[in-house]
This record gives sequence, structure tokens and C-alpha cells, in this order.
Amino acid sequence: MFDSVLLALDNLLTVNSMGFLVMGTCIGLVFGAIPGLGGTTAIALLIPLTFGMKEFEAITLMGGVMAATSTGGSVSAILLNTPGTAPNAATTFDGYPLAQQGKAGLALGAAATASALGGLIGVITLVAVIPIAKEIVLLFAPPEFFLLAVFGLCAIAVSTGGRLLQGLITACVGLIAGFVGYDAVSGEVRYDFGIDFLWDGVKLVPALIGLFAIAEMINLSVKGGTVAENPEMVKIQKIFDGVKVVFKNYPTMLRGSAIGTFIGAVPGVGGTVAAFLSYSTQVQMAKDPETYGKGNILGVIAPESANNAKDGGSLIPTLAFGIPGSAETAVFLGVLILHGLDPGPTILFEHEDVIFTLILTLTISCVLATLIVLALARSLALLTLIDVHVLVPAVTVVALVGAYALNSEIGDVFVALVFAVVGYWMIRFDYPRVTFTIALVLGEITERSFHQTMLISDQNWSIFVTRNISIILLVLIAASLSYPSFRRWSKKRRMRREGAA
Amino acid sequence: MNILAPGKRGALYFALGLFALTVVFIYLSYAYAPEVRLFPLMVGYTGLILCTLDLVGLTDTGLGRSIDAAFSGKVDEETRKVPKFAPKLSRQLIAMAWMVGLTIGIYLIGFMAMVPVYVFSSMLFQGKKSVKQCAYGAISATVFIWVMFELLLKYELYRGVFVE
Repeated sequence: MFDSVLLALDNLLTVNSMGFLVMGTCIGLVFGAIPGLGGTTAIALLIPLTFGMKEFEAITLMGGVMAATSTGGSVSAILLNTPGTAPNAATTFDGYPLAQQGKAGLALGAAATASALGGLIGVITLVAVIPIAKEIVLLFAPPEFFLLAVFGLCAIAVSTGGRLLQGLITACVGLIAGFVGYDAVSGEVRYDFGIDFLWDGVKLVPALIGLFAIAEMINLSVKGGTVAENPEMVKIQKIFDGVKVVFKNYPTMLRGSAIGTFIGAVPGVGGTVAAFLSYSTQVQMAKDPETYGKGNILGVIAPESANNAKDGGSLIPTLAFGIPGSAETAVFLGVLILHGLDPGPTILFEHEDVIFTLILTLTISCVLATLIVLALARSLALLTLIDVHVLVPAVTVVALVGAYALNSEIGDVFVALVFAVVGYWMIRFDYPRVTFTIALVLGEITERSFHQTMLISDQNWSIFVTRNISIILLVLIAASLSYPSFRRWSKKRRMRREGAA
Repeated sequence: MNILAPGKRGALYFALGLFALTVVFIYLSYAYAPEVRLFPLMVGYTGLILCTLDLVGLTDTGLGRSIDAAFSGKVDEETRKVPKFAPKLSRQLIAMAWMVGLTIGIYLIGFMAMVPVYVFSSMLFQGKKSVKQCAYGAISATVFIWVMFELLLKYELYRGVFVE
């Protein structure tokens, strides 16, 4: 192992490799910050560039992109309430209110630091967990995948600030939207209304661009003024307070990183769930849950540490079993295959130096991306002072081009528009968009796991209560759904006691 | 007698829309084979029950208040708050009309022609900016998109229904 680390260092410490690493980090930050682009697009677009490169050079370029995108995405999530990448959506809940309160610098500092530390913890876990990765992932069978998805939806609905019913409704609507198109289980095309474009289903990227970026632009356009509610209050001198606050609240960062690494390692679930689950766990464990969604800095630290830690976690199944943990790692898998590296046991035993080159790249890129964001935070925070009538047209056109660019389909622009209108009414009437998004992401895996469970059990529903992990997940679902009633009961009891006193 | 909770008329229309969507979805699901519609129907009926509860929760009745309180975790006096920000419907429709106009424009004449037209007119009519500022904005946005997507990323952006 030590020889592999030395070989990896030898690979990395060349002018070319370091140049590609810096280039990958900068590209990752830019693609992460621009809503609708993201790491998957960046990696896919860069694949042709790697044709003439040595395998470790290609890995440094791609590793740089992967480690930096979510850090870049946090910038637009905090300043504009439009997550650069889907996993940054959870950062908007408290990051944007902080920006509105004039604490954009604090939020950016905390997000960048939590991202770096989360990323490092994910990478360290990757090194530690590789030998036992198989056992961990194999603990989860279809019943557990199904219940994990249901638990994720319920937990997130509960965390939406007293809007559990509306959160569950939007989760159902998100699942309904996810049913459109080709059904992987039966092979049948459903709910396509005879439109060929819908055979592939509702594509996630245009839907998310509409739901978050453009819906927010409509909302800003209706409100007018600047993104910051009171321009006088925009103070950007607290960047390093943001760094300090992460170290001061290290349990939140460690918990978020642990969730991110674990969820990242579960194939198909990915960074979005990791970030939202980390956020909802933080809210549920907090003594002051009512302050979340209104600008609590811990609501920024929790998702940001999780969505960067998931990079290390998602590489566990990718490298160990050739099973991608996310869309981004799926494309990365293609890069490895293109360069003659066969993911799975072969790469573990025959190309350990390549794995350590990737690990070192992720480590350096995490820190580098954070330093760049910290250095530019002051200028970036000024974005919140831009007049919305300048910002709205600029962001809208870039978002629509982003919606079109991924698949070069004009239909995706209309999908973005439809979701933008729905998203605006959801903002207006306080229906959580987050549960809708998660349901849309998890729709396919939820339905597939459900059908696989029914096949395994021969249509016997008792399978959900005869397996240990399933029982734990069912208890967690019940606990999360009864949480608002419990909160109301304890609040009433406290009020009664205070009244008596 | 108005049984609707104060300030909830708009929310009622939205909730009714979601209810209707769920009903239509359930109706459409029955066109598929039992094994294909099993999971969608589970979701559809769950959604229908939740939408019904939401509609009842919007009413200013004992049952409505109980439902609202049970799901929100709020005590009774907190559940009847009227939303603070209520923009005019016309203003909201105008903001949406701009987005619809932009999308249709992109479909008809493509990105590179529609982007400057939209940015210029949006800044001029919505933002009340000077013609010079609008022209700078339109040129900057168009150049950025051209350089970023066409020149650097080698995307061929949509040119409009007449060209395609």
C-alpha cells in the first residue's frame, strides 16, 4: 500500500498533472456555480479532452472537477437561492435566508469549510472502507432500499417547517412525475400522452432548473428590488467567522460527513439525498428546530459537509464493485473504462496507485476549491446587491440554455418552463419543493425496489417486518411521521405549565 | 357563510389543482395492466387522501383546524396565521408571461436571436433601465452564452423551428 501511495505521489507531482488538477478544480467550481450544469455535465464534456492523456492525468482532471462542483454549487445556492447542483438545494434553506440577513460572507465561509472538511472525511473513509465495502453495501437488499427511500421522503417532509402534509403531497406529485415514460420493470411506456419526447420520462436536469432556478427568478421578478431584502444589511466581512463556526460546531460537520459518506456509498441514492437527509437529521436533533429555514448556520454546515463527503462514499461501490453511486461517478466510470482501467477487484489489486492518485486529487482539490471560494467570497457576495431586473433575464437565459444543452432537446426548455410555473406556485403557497425533487430523483429506484421486494417475497408484504434493517427503517418512518404531533403535544404541555406558573 | 380560512383562497385553488391532478392520474393508471399500475396506484390513492386532508385543512372549521395542527405541529393559535406577502395576481401572471414568451420565442427563432431580444426588452420594460444599459445587458448575455456554450463547449444551440 505504501508503495502505491508513493507511486501516486510520483504521478501527481508533475507539471502536467498539477496543471490538470487546477484546471479541473476551476472548471468544477464554474460548472458547479452555474445552475443546471453540474459535475456530470462537466465530466461528460471533458471526456473527449482526455483521449490523448495518460490515465492518471485524466483522473486528476476528473477528480478535480468532482471535488469542486458541490463547493461551487453552494455559492449560487447561498447568494441566489438557485442551487448550482441538485445536492446544493438543501443549502438554500438556511444559506439564502442568511444572505438575505446580510450574512452571505458567514454562510459562504461556513459552506466552503464544511465542504472541504466533509470531502476530506469522505476520502479518508474511502481509504478505510474499501476492504469491507462489499459487506456494507450488501446489507441493503430491495426491501431496505424501498424503505430507505420512503424514510428519506418522510424525514424530509417533516423537516419542512410545519408543512408535513404539503410535503407529503408534493412527494406524491414528484413520484407521479417520475412515473412518466419508460418503466424499467415492465418495459412499458406510461403516461406519455402520445408524445414521443416523454418516452424518456421527465428529465431531472431541466426539471430542477425550472423548479429552482427559473421559479426563483419568477418569484424575484414579482417581488422586485434586490436579492438581499435590505441592501443596507449586506455585510461580507464575516467570511472567516464562517470558517471558525464550522470548527466550533464540529459534531454537526462530522455527522453530516458520516451521513454523506454512508449515503454516497449506497448506489443510486446520491448526493441530493445525502444533503437533505443530513439537513433533516440536523433539524430533528436541534433544540431549536423552528430557527431552521430562517438562517441557522448549522443548516448550511450539515448539507455542505454531507454533499462533499458523498464523493468519497460514492467511489466505494464505483471502484470496488463497478457500481456507480451517483450519475457523476457513472460518467467517471466511463472515463476509467476508456483508459483501459476495469473498475472492480481488478483495479483494487492491479492499479492501486490509480486509486491513490484519485484519492490525493480529491483531497487537494477539496482544499483548493475552498481556498478559491474563500478568496473570492467578497466579490461573490456582491451578487446579492444586483437589481433583480438585471439578474432575472441574465440567470433565466443561462438556465434555459443549460436545460437545453445536456440533451440538445428543445422539449427540455418547455419542461423547465412547466416546472418553473409549478415551482413558483409551490413557493407562493408554501408547498415544499424539496420533497417533490427527492421523489422525482428516487421515483425509479423506489418503484424498482418495491417490485423486486414483491418478487423476492412472492407478493408477501410481511417481508418488510421480518428483516432487521427493514424493521429499524419502519420504526424510523413511524417516528418521523409522528414527530409533529409529539412536538405539538410537548409545546401544549409547556404552555400549560407556564400558564399554571 | 364563508368556511374558508382567511387568506387561503389562492391556496385553495392550488390544492384543488393538485387534487384534480391526482384524480386524473388515478383514472389514467387504470389503462395499464395490474402489475404496471400497482405502485402508481398506491402513490395515487395516498396522494388523493393527503390532498383531501389538505383541502379540509384549509377550511375554518374544527376539523380543518385539527388537521392543520396535527400535521404542522403548531398549537391552535399558530395555525390561523394569514400569509404576510400576497402579491397581486396580475403581477404574478405578468412575470410568468415573460417566461412563457421567452420559451416560445426560443422555440420560434432560437437562442442566439431570442436571448438579446428578451434581455433587452425585459430590462427596458420590467426594469425601466436606460436603452444604453439594456443594450449592454443584451450584448453581454448573448456574448457570454455564445462564448461559453458554442465556442468553448462546442454545443450547437437550437436555431429555431424555421431553421431546424
